[in-house]
This record gives sequence, structure tokens and C-alpha cells, in this order.
Amino acid sequence: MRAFGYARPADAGEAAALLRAGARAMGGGTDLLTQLDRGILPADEVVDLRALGLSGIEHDGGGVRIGATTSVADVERDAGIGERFPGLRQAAGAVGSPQLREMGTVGGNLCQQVRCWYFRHPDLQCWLRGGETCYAQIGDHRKHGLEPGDCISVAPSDLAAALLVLDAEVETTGRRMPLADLYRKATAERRSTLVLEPGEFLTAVEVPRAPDASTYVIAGERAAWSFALVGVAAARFGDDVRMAAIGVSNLPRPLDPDDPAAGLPGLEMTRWKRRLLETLASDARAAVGR
Amino acid sequence: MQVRLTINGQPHELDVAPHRSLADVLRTDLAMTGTKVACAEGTCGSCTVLLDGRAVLSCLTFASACDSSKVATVEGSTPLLERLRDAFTAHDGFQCGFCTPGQLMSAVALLQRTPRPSRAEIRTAMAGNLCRCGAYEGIEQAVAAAAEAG
Ligand SMILES: Cc1cc2nc3c(=O)[nH]c(=O)nc-3n(C[C@H](O)[C@H](O)[C@H](O)COP(=O)(O)OP(=O)(O)OC[C@H]3O[C@@H](n4cnc5c(N)ncnc54)[C@H](O)[C@@H]3O)c2cc1C
Ligand code: SF4
Ligand code: FES
Ligand code: FES
Repeated sequence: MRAFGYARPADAGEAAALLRAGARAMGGGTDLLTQLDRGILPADEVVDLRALGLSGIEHDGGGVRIGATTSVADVERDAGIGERFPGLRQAAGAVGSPQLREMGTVGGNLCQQVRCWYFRHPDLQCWLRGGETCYAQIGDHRKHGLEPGDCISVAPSDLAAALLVLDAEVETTGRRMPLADLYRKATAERRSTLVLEPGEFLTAVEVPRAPDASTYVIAGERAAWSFALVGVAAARFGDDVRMAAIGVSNLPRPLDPDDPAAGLPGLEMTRWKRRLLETLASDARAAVGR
Repeated sequence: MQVRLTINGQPHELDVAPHRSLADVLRTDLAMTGTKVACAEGTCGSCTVLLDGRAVLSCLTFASACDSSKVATVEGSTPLLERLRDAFTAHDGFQCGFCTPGQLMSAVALLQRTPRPSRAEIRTAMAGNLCRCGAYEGIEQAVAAAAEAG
């Protein structure tokens, strides 16, 4: 591994100060470490957030609060989540492999970087990494998104889709916002899909109330390990059905339950994903009973 | 950085550079080469060890993040690990054996938490350990047999 420093502060203010000075936040490190190692991220210090006391799952009233450094496996195993938020449990169980779920945190899962193979290549500096060219659009983009744009990589977080349909809110060191507002398209001036400011990090995710039914369905190349080619979450509150997908857009993408592929025309090599999206969306809708 | 680890019940105090992986420290500094590294990027499971009872990938774990933790590797000897070793041998749970240390540690994590797993639970819990030799049938049978013998 490339050399870099490691800090594990027990105080959130200290963590924020280190981050403002250019260090990188780390949960389980499962996404971060290979990026640092390949020089994709220039940071030379990581700040481990796991000693800040931000791990744990609390059920209160109808909702649930999940600390940012709670492991994905703990979400998957939590009895209350399994009972009242089955879609969230399914999404947690879909992440990577058992070991990656033990290591990976909820905050890291929601803030993970895109998996585009050009982005992850040590010798290329594509548009999202601050360069001029989106190599995927002139090269191989079979597994990319259905939305045209400067960057056609896809949001990879299974938890993001499942939490989006539950109207989750995220709490950061400085504010609270709907999970949907954590993400926005990268722009020429700001090549990031997260709205977080320097020094700001997630401290918790909260779901205000349990749906009447929820589900998460994915299609991947293998049952374990592989990222979802497309993942669709659905939740029903009374007669109101919410749907969202990953694997189709830069951002975790809300879908119109009556026309899930609307606004997602597909690109030359990705049009095949529309069919997958439509099939998964109809499965998800049937599973929540509408 | 000074790091205190309890590895297979033995205390160790090590001075490690902050960026080094647990797998590297185990193999290089401690000559515990039972833990295997194949991909070094989280995609195979061969480096699996237990960290405070959880099956983790030691190639993606900083040794410095493990201060004051308990690590269990294939070099250890517990009744459960011995039972699994016997079962892997009896049921052809390997061919070349390169993935076996990681398979064993994932199986230990599973049986510690779920002493009587169903076949489906075994398959789910072992899904994070690839075997290039394709010994999956034998691995599943071995884990089931070790659970029954427990
Ligand atoms: C082989 C492989 C397969 C995978 N498969 C899947 C999959 O199927 N589905 C899936 O969703 N993920 C998958 N992942 C990605 C990753 O393992 C998980 O998303 C994991 O949950 C990330 O969490 P982490 O704590 O390890 O993140 P880290 O690597 O620690 O962090 C990821 C990013 O988030 C930032 N970050 C971490 N914590 C916070 C915080 N609290 N606030 C703000 N920023 C933060 C970091 O700076 C970094 O940029 C896979 C990874 C690998 C290596
Ligand atoms: S799709 Fe995005 S991440 Fe991939 S090469 Fe294009 S700009 Fe980079
Ligand atoms: S060597 Fe760690 S997962 Fe492959
Ligand atoms: S026995 Fe050879 S890789 Fe599994």
C-alpha cells in the first residue's frame, strides 16, 4: 500500500478539523483503501470515524435511527429492521459479501464513490476525477447509466435506494437533510455527487416511520459480490407507492411507479438495462402489493 | 504506531506504519503466513480473519485500526476450528488449499453465531470466499458436518 497517515479521534470536532485539513473520512475503508492505494484520491491521511460513538441502531416510536458507523451486517441482522423495514434488510444483505458487510459502514455505503472502471484506473483522469474526457462515453459503457450527461457512471449504493423510498433523512456534523438532498449531479466546477462540505461528515440516518410494505430487488452478474446492475426499492405507505433505483443514474434515482423508465432513455450500450429496470420495477411493485 | 493485538490468544505489541494492512503485518512481521492474500482488493476472501469475532478481509484492514483487538487466524487452535479442519479433510473441502484458511475462518464466524445453520445459511455465509478449484460442494458439506458434530 501507498504510505499515508491514520488517525482515530474520539472527538467529532477533532475529526472535522483533520478533514478540513485535507484528510479523508473512513468508515470500514472497503471503498476508500483501494482508491488511496491506486492514487485515485490524493489524500495522505485518513480519519477513522469509528471511535466517535456513532455506531448503533435505535428504534423509537415508529422510526429508526442508525448511526453512521454502524456496520451493514448489523443493519442486516437487526430484528426490528427485519420486521418493520424488510426492504432495508434486503438491501443490506445485497451489499458485497459477508465480510464486506461486517466491515462496511452505513455512512461509507451512502458516500461511496462510483465504480466506473475508467474512474478507478490509476493512469486515467476522467471528467469526474477533474479531467476533460468521459472515457466511458467514447469507450466501453455496458454497465453504465441510462441518463445522458457529462458523466454516465451509476450510483452503486444498495442502501441508498432502500432508504430513499423510506423518506430517510441524514444527519451530518452541521445539518439535517432529506437523503435525496445528499446527492446532486457533478458539475464542471464541482466534480462530486455529494453535497458535503470540507470537514462535514454523516453522523446518522433516520427513517421517520415504517411503511406498510417494502422490498428491494436486484439483478447482478452473480448472487454474491457483484454490484447491482440495476437495483429497485419500493415501499408502500397506505395507497402511496414510492420507488427508487440504483444502477441507472449518477444518483440514487426516484422512479415514477407508473412509468419507471421515464426520463431514462439509455445510451447505445446501456439500452438493455431499460428492460431490466422495467422487470425489476414490476417485481418490486408486486411485492409491495400494488 | 504502537499497536497491541491479541492474536489467537497471544498478546503482541508491534510498531507498524499506519498504512499497513493487517494481512501484511501478520504475514511479514509475524511470519504467520497461514493467512493468504490473492487479490488484495476485497474481491476474493482468501485473507479472511476474525477481528473481535467478525469475519473481515485482512487485506483491506489497517493493522493500526486493530489496536486492542482480538484477531483469530488459521494458525489458532480451538475445538471449533479443529472440528472444521477435520471436516474439510473428510469431505474434500479443498483441492489446492489456497482458499482454505479464509474458508475456515468464515466457517468459524458462522458457527460461532449460528451453531446449527441451514444449508441456505451456510451458502450465504460462505459466499464471500471464492475457490478457484471449485470445491464448493465439499466446503458446504464440511461446514454442515462440523455443525452436526458440535
Ligand atoms: C468487492 C466489492 C464489492 C462491493 N459490493 C458492493 C455492493 O454490492 N453494494 C454496495 O452498496 N457496495 C458494495 N461495495 C462497496 C463498499 O464495500 C460498501 O459500500 C461499504 O458499505 C462501504 O462502507 P465503508 O465504511 O467501508 O466505506 P469507506 O471505504 O470507509 O468510505 C467510502 C467513502 O465514503 C466516505 N465516508 C465514509 N464514512 C463517511 C461518513 N460517515 N460521512 C461522510 N463520508 C464518509 C469516505 O471518505 C469514502 O469516500 C463493494 C466493495 C467491494 C470492494
Ligand atoms: S462515466 Fe463518469 S466516472 Fe466514468 S469515465 Fe465518464 S466521467 Fe469518469
Ligand atoms: S486478498 Fe483480501 S479479499 Fe482477496
Ligand atoms: S481449494 Fe484451491 S482455491 Fe479453493
